[in-house]
Amino acid sequence: MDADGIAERSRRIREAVAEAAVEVTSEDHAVTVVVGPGGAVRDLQLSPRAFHLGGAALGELVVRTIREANTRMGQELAATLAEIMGDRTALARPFAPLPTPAQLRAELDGGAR
Amino acid sequence: MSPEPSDRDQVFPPRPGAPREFQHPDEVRAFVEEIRERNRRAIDRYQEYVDRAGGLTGEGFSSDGTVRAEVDADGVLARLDIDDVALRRGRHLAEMILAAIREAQAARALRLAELGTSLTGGRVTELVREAVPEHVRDILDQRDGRR
Repeated sequence: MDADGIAERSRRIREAVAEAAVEVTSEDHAVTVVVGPGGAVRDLQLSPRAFHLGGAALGELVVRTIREANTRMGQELAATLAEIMGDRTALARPFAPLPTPAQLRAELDGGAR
Repeated sequence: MSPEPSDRDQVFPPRPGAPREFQHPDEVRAFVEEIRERNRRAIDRYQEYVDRAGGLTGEGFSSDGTVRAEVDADGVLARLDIDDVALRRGRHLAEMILAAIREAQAARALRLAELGTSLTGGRVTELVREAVPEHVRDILDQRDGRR
């Protein structure tokens, strides 16, 4: 891929991350959330039904709804990024875990032999 | 914009492009060992960051204190305490919840940045502080005794 191709691809990735949003409504329709990447909560709406729940129950419902949206966000972003990268296997997880300190140490000491 | 590299950040030899002349194989060995040692120190700092960042959560409140949010080490909402009194706030309640969540996330981001800065130096904390809305920054500073 040439430099223009790489620049174009990184532009599309930036756009995809900036625009990514997932909306989820709880089963009882009391809570609707819109989340973005990285745990961002862009919007939260409560229907009149939400106010019939007690504070504790509503708190739990909001947490559950946001966490579900967050999980979906991760999946959708992974799919979008894989599409941009043109490789469905390499980017199955968009943010692959960093190597652990132990892995890095093993690599460093392995090089000493 | 990238922060000025400090000596502590340097994993590879300073001035990577500079030619270096060796007179003796021992000098090469010493040079390589120096790099290896620097990398070991960088990994030690990384280990400390991982150990400490793994437990970094954040806590935030609505302005009247009736809603409390807690985000986990990934910055995702983990717990939300809503006082029954807050239910009387009607259409404002959603904004109060959002404010508490955002304050909790900002608190975690600042603590992460402070941790990164304490281990590697650089301008991380400054950059994160700039990204946090001023009124939230003031609340967090007051709470954490930064001023």
